[in-house]
Amino acid sequence: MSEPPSERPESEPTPDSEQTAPQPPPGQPPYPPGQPPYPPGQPPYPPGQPPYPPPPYGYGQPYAFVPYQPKPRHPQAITVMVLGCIALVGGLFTGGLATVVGPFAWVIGGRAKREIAAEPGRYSDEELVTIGYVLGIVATVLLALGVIGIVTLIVVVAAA
Amino acid sequence: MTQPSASQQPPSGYPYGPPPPPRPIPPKHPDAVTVLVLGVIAVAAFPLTGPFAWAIGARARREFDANPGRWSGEDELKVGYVLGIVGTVLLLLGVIAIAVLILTFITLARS
Repeated sequence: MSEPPSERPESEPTPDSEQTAPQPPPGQPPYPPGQPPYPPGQPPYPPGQPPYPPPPYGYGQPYAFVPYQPKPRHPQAITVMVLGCIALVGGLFTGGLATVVGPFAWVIGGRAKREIAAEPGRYSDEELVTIGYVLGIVATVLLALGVIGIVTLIVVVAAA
Repeated sequence: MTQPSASQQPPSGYPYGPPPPPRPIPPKHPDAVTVLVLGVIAVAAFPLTGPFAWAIGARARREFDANPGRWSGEDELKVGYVLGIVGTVLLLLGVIAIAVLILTFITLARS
C-alpha cells in the first residue's frame, strides 16, 4: 500500500520494457553529453586491421624499414683520386717520375669538378675529386719545376 | 569519472621543450678541402704548398666568419690553415739551412 506504482517495472521486468538500453542515473551520466569518447567520424582503429602490423621476426621495433639510398659518386671520382695519389705520393718514391700522371689528374679532375658544380646535389663524395684535383696540380707544378731544373742543368753543362 | 576524456590528454609539454626540428647541413666552403689537402701536403711531403694553404686558408676563414651559418667545413679550414703555417715554417727553416750550407761551402772554398 505504501509503494508507488512507478517502481513496479524495475522490480518485475516485462518483455516489452526498455531493458535493452539501460538509462543511467540522472545525476551522473557516464560521459559528458558534449564530448563523445571518440570522434564519431574517426574510429580509433581501421575496422578491418589490427592496430599495429605484426613486427617482422628478428626486429624489435615495428617501424617500417626504409632503405637508405645514397647518392652515387661521380664516375671519375676514384680515378681522379687515385691519379692524384700516384702522382704525388708515387713521385716521392720514384724520384719524381710518377709526377707525369699529375696533369691527367688535373685535367680529369677539373672536368669532373665542373660537372659536379653544374648539377649540385646529384653526386656524393665531392671531396674525393677535390683532393685528387689538388694533388694533381701540386704534382704538375713539381713536374714543371723538375723539368725546368733538368733543362737548366743541361744548358749550363752544355755551355760550360 | 565525470570527465574521462580529460585524463586522456598528453602532458602539457616536454620537460625540456619540444625537440628542435632537424636542420639541413649547409654545404662546405668551396675551399675547405683544398686548404686541407694543401696543408697536409705541406707538412707531409712538400713544404712549398705551405704558403698557399696559409693564404687561401686565411682568406677562406675570413669569408667563413663573415657569413655565419652559410657554410660548413670549419674544421677542415682550421686544420689546413694551421698545417699551412707549420709547413711555411718548415719551408723557411729549410731555405735557411740550404743558404747556410751554401755560404759554408763558399767560405770553405775560398779559404
